[in-house]
Order: sequence, then structure tokens, then C-alpha cells
Amino acid sequence: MPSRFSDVEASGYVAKQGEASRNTKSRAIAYVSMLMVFVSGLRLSAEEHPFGLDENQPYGRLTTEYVTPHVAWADPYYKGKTRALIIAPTWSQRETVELAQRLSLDFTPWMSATFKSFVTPAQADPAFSFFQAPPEVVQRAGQEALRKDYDVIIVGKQEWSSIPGQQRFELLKRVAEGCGLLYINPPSGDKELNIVFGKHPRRRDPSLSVRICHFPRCLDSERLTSVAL
Amino acid sequence: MAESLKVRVEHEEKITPAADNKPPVNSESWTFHAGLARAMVRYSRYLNRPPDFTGNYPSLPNSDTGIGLDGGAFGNWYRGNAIRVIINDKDIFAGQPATKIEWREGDNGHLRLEWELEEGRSVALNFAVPDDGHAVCLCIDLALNALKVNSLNIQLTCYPGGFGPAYGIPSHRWVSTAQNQAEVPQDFSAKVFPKISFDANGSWIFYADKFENRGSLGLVVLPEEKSAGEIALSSYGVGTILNYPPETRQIHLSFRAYSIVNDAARKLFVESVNEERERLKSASLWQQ
Repeated sequence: MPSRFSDVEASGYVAKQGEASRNTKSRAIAYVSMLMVFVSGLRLSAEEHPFGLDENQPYGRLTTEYVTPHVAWADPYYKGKTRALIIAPTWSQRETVELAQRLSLDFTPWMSATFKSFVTPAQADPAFSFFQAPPEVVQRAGQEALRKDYDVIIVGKQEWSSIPGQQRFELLKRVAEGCGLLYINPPSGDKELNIVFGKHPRRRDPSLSVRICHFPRCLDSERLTSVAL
Repeated sequence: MAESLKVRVEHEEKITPAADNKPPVNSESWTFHAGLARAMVRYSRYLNRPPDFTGNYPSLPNSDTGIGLDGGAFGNWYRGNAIRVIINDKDIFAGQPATKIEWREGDNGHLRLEWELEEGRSVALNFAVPDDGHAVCLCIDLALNALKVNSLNIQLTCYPGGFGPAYGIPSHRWVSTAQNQAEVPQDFSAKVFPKISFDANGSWIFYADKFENRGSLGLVVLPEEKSAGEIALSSYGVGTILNYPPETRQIHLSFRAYSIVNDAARKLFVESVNEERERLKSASLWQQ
């Protein structure tokens, strides 16, 4: 651990210097970050899209090549990589990468359009509709994601009822078989979730609105709760 | 949970009243909600029989009436008229509207349209949409009794890549099978559009537009049903004629549609053909 803090200090992320120096470095970091986003974006667009969409379509793609300043808190983790399915909107999945920077994570994202809906109705405006993933592609992404095995399923504020029935059934089956389920901001009053959270051991931190069910055996739950937040 | 695992069917119907000596028009659609995916079957026709109409008028007088597919890229099969059944050179759907229509929700979504013909004969289209909505499957039952069949064919119309050419957008239609391929590029200058043959042992046809590079279509057939025919390309519509042996009494087809780019769609489609053929033959797909 000390060596990691040394790395952080060397990057200038931890305040040890004067205000002016810090501002200059922040601006430099911001500039480099923007450049890296641009460069990594170019690299992304040159690749074949994993679901056969336009090469510039962001759906289904996450890059770990752009690294933000972070503390690699549990990477490597002494129990190895945690296999995680992460269900959240496309535009919020960068948090998956941020988590993976801090925790040894073998992640598979299943991206939705919004917290309330996996797909949005077709829009006539081509500037907007370009960024909409076709429903059948989103469905295929879910089917392919659920062919893999996971230690934990993380649902990032996604409305449970917005997940298609077949996939909800599969997710609950996985949990019943021992896979972990970490639900951030679960909806209240959902009958299916009430059954799940009612039947299985759970912990809840009332201040954080996180419900944890069947924590994966490979993880130390205290540590993941801390790092995830 | 059990309810949400089903393929849900949403039915809409609109009747346009008779006018100008034309019969009323009945337009129906069935939307199959299969998870996130949607596929739609449409049927629009003139109600040309008493008590709706007493004059003489065909049920399907033009290419905009008939049985079509819709819902995302499925609309490129054409929502107005994608499928016709021709027996002894007679368009079965043109003479009269379907006499029985029923649909059912379940593990797969089902729709059955039946034409009761003279002397107890009938033709029925059984559509099934699997639970992931990846295809619209069709089983055609032909109860033709003692009718002497000289010719039996299925005519399909599609617009791979969409309808851009109707609005002045260029096209580059491209059709491929396991044995053949043909295309109509933007600078096509020959006097006659190309046609390619479809062999009796063929099992798939892929339709695309290289200019649009999305909205491609796929058709899976069962080689054991020995349909041979041809695909006629143009810079806009693409027509497919599948001729079946006269003794055929059941025909299976699977219609596919892709919003993704052509290369990825073709790969996905071709890789799925064998599985799709098995699905078409499985009784569980058609059980209502």
C-alpha cells in the first residue's frame, strides 16, 4: 500500500504543495485528460463495434485505456479478479471503469438507455436517434452477457421492472444459485425484489441506499461496500 | 414474473369506410412484444364481400395492401405487402379477405390467418414470434384436397436498407445466397436489373444495401421443402419467387431483420441458419 500512495503523491493528486502549484497541475491534468479522451475516442471509433453498430456508436463499449487519478485500492486483490455483471445506463458506465481501476474486476456491462428504461422510443431527430441502440441489439447484449458466469451482479440504480422478464428471471436464478447481488438505489415496493431481499440474508446501510443480497463468497463485503462508494 | 416471460401480442384495427364505389378497408396489426424486441405483422385488405360490399372489387388491388411485416428493421420487408401465396397462378389473398384470424400470447407469440376457399379447401398462414423476437417465423398450411396443383409459389417483396431511393437517396442493393450473389451499384448502367437463381438445396438468402449499410434482411427456408426460384434485384425493391413442388402442403420460412451494419448482420445471420432451420421444424414453436 505505501508504494501506491507514493504513486498518487508523485502524480500530484494528493495535496502537498502550494495552491498555485496545485492549480497549475490541475489544469495540466485536465488538459491531458481531455486529450486522452479525444485520442481514446479516435481509437474506439476505428474499431469494429462489438454489436455491429456504427463504429462511432458508444453502446456496449467501455475503454479502460483512459485512466483517471485513483487509488488502486484492491487491484490486485488477494482473492483474484471478481467477475461482475454491471447493469446501468450507457452514460453512467464510466463508473464501472472507475470501479475497475480501484478493484480487480473482470466486468461485463449491460447498458440501458436510462435508469427507467432499457430502450427509448424511436426519435425522428437523427442527431439523437443515432445514439439510440436498437432494442434488438440491447436485448442481444443482455442475452450474451448472461451466458457468462459472475461472482456478483451490480445493478446501478436501474429500475428493476425495466429489465426484460427473461433476463430478470435469469438474474434471480443466478442469485438463488449463490451469485452476489449489489443493488444501488433499489426501487421500493417491487414485489419481485421484496421476495428476493426478504428470503436471503441482506445488509442495508440506511444512509447509502445500497441493498446487498447474497454477498459473493470471493469478496470481503466490507471492503467492496467501501470501494464501490 | 410468469406474465412478463410471455410474448405479448398487441392488436390494433382500423376500418376505413367504403367510398367511391370501393369497399371498406380493414387494416390490422399485431405487435409482438418479446422482451425489448418488437416485431409486427400487418394485414390490410378491402372487405369486398357481403355484407361489407356488394360490388366487384379485389381484396388486394395494389402493392400496398396485403400482409406485411413491421417493427424496426422488419419494416424493410415492407409493412404493406411482403408475402403472397400463388397457387395455379392465382393470388390467394387477392380474391377475398381472410375468413378466420386468431392470435395468442405465450412462450412464443402466435397469429393465424386463414382463407377458406371453395370446396372445403383452405390456406392458412401461421406466424410465430419466438421469445427473443429475433425472427418472424411463418408456417403456411395448404389444405388443397383434390385440387390439381400445377404451380405453387411464394412471392416476397422487400426493400433492404430501406426506402431511401423513393426520396432520392442513392442505393446499392446486394443479395447473396450460399451459391450466388448480385448487386445493383449506384452507377448501374445495364438495361436489365440482375436476377439470381435460388437452388432447391439452398437454405438462406441475405438482402442488404451497401450504401445504407444497415437495415439488412434474411430469409431462412428448409432445403427439404425443395423451393427453387429466383431473386430479382432493382435499385429499390427486391422480389423473391420461391417455387415449391405441387405436392407441398406445408411451407416454413423465417424472416429476419437487422438494424446493425451489413457485415455484422450477415455473419450473425449465416451463423444462425442451422439453428433457425431446427427451430422451424420444432413443434414447440408452433404449438399455440
